[in-house]
Amino acid sequence: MSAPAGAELGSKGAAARGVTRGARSTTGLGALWVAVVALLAFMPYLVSQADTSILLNFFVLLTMATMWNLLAGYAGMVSIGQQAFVGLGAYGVLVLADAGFNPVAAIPVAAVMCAAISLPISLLVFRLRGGYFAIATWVVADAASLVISSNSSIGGGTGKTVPGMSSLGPRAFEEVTYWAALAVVVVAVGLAYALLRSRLGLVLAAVRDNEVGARSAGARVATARRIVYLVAALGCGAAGALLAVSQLNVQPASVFGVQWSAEMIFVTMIGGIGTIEGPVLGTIVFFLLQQNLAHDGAWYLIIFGSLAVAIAIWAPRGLWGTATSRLRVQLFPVGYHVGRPRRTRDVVPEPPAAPPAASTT
Amino acid sequence: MSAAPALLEVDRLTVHHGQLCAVREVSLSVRTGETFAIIGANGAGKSTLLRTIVGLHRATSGRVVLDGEDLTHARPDARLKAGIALVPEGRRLFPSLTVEENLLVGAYRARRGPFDVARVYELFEWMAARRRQRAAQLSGGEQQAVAIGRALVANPRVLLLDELSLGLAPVVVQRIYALLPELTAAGVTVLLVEQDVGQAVRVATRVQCLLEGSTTLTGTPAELTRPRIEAAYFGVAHEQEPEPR
Amino acid sequence: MSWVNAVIQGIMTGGYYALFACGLSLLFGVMGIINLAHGDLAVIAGYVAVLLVPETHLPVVWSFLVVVPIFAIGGYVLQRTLLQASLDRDPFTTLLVTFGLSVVAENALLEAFSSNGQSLNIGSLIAYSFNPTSTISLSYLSLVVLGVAVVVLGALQLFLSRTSTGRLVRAVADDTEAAQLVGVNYRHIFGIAAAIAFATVALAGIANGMYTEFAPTTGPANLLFAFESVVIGGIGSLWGTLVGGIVLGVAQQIGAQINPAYQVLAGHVVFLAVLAVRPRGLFGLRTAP
Repeated sequence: MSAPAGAELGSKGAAARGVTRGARSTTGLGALWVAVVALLAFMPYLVSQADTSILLNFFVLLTMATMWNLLAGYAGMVSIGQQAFVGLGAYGVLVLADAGFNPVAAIPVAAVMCAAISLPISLLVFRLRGGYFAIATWVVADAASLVISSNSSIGGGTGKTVPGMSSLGPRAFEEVTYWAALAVVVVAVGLAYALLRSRLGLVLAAVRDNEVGARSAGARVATARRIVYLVAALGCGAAGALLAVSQLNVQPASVFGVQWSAEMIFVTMIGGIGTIEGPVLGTIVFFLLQQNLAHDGAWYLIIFGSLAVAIAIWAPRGLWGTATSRLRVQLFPVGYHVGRPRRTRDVVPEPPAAPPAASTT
Repeated sequence: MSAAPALLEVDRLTVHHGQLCAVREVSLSVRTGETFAIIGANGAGKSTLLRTIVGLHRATSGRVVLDGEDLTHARPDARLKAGIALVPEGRRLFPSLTVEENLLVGAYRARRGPFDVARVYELFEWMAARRRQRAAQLSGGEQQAVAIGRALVANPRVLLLDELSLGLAPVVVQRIYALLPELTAAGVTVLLVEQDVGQAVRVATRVQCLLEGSTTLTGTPAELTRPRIEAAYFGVAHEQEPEPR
Repeated sequence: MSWVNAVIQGIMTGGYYALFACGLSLLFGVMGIINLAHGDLAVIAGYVAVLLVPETHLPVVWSFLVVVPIFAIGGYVLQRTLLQASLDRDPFTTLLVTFGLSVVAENALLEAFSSNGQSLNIGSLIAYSFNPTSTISLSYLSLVVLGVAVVVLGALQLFLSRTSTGRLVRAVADDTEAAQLVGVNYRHIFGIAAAIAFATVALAGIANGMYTEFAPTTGPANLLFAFESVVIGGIGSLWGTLVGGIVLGVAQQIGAQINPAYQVLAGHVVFLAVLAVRPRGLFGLRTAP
């Protein structure tokens, strides 16, 4: 009872007091996720090439949405310029492939490059908050697009093809790109999950609730935000790199397009902002809609956008958030649960052994 | 005591801030021409009570009635039209507007009555000369005066004053409170909230004490002895005063 | 084109940017709304003019007489319904809602009209210009737009500082709660501010349609320019927005002189530089939020 607050979060003390990371319903989830990933890894042997292609795009969008959710849902930074890193990631692969690197191996390198570039960018855009931060990120993306478009050695405005993949037959190409995408999304979601379970996640949750209070309790708010911004750049860069490798033709208008932001934002808002499960659900809904309405160019965006607007106003927690608001269901447990202490023995310290009776006079 | 009709009646008002119960079944009734003071420590629920009476907060249960008219569900601007005006805690002047503009905005929905901008300038002689200054540039006491003036020009029937003394020097506070009789004489009923018990007891015709959202004491200043007030204010059981021999 | 001409063209473009940006500035200053659909609103105004002009048999130049009131009313209604509902949630929601509306609007326009550009044909008026010197060319239309921008900004400033409704707008912008306490229905005042903002953006959209083409997807570019003008000039200052617009316009024209491909980029560079060196902007009353 007299220990300082920090000490109690050590796992031993916490567990003794009944504070756990997940409710009872989450035990065994780890095994479930391994099974899901294993099943997904086998997909190229189970379904057609068209379907793995859809799944690949699903993984790409899910990666982006997870990153946007980290930024907006957890760190409170609404960005409409993540397409800057999608584009830079794609062009990173192009540049590396032109220089002779294996495009698939270039994916993580390009992602790290994006994270590195995001650091000086953050120094600029962090000077603004709220809506002005959002538009500034968009300006940065537009500027990046313009700079790249003016550079003819990487294709200028018309784009260029990524070399180095032609040695693979169509089947091998399909498998390699699919597994690369699966690897990226697993790492992205896993990274987001790990980040939020860590101390950083606690800082972010505190800042989300009360920034001033968090600062005065010692939270390094700016650093936390910057880390999240870097991770989001990393993830979106990887997504862009995947696009380059899977589509092979990279041009500014498509990889730097604001429609990526639109999709990652709508997907997260509809699925449930501020939860890791939300973007997953939202991406599933998006692809279901898209598959059924793909024939009508702009309509699915109109419907999806209107749905996102309606949900933002009337069901702001999104589908997942609203559905699980009553139940404590978490497929990715990131919070803390305070339950009853497990054994009273651990909570109430043994009184010290009684000293030998003092003689009274 | 002659029972003048109650102008403002609050009937078992309960107000929550999220899950926290800030005001718990508080009732009071303010008669026309009274100066009614609510006292209590920080967090006792006094400001919440005033804000609910004026409509900025929604009550969980209970009623607010002005001269027979049930205003419990009315919006703040409707309550102003009915005749309740609040001088909020912290003054809350419009900082980018001048003194005169603040008063003019106050007069936007004014009822008919003795107060207008000119009358406010009479009440506070220094104000007319400073009327083109931005409100943000005034001192605390001056801002308090303008805030009162802004509420007065609407000619309210009941004027609610929230923590007038907060952040002001005692001399300034006294000068402001010295105005109250003039307001009462002009027909304004006053309901004020005050942490400074001495000040409240000096000006009030009746006093009510709140502690953690509930009423702990009501009465006239004459009836309320210091020990009783202290006990009600802090919530400690007080020793019975010794029986006079 | 000479350098001097570039600067002059920049000044005139700046007038247009300022006209376009003052609505954005008003929406943010009063309600705290960043309207990400602002650019698309201008495009919609252009399309409305294109549709209505044949019906009303008005000369194209006077189409704003019809479109501006429509937009003013539409702005009031949109503010009182959708935007107020999202404001009541929190400012974060409003950002997402206006972004969503922007995407929906663009795609709806794409469905309704093609992706081809349109413009408002004002016939020979567009060609009128006068040349004070051999290298400087002042287009009549651009001068008129600059003049309109100055008049609109001036009128807006007068409205805010001299009229009683303008006073209420300023009061509500300062403190909505205190405004409620003095009997102001702040939602109605928000509606009026939105109506004015939408009216100015309609004007800007029509002006734009007269000297250049517009298409469903040209909205965002204008949004970025408007936003850059506001930040460069300083958030909270209407005349600052005019100066900001001119600085942006001049930067873009100078960039274009160096290399036509650098036009928009030059503007971005100046914007980012202002962010780096003086985030408050040239005349900013307070730091950007």
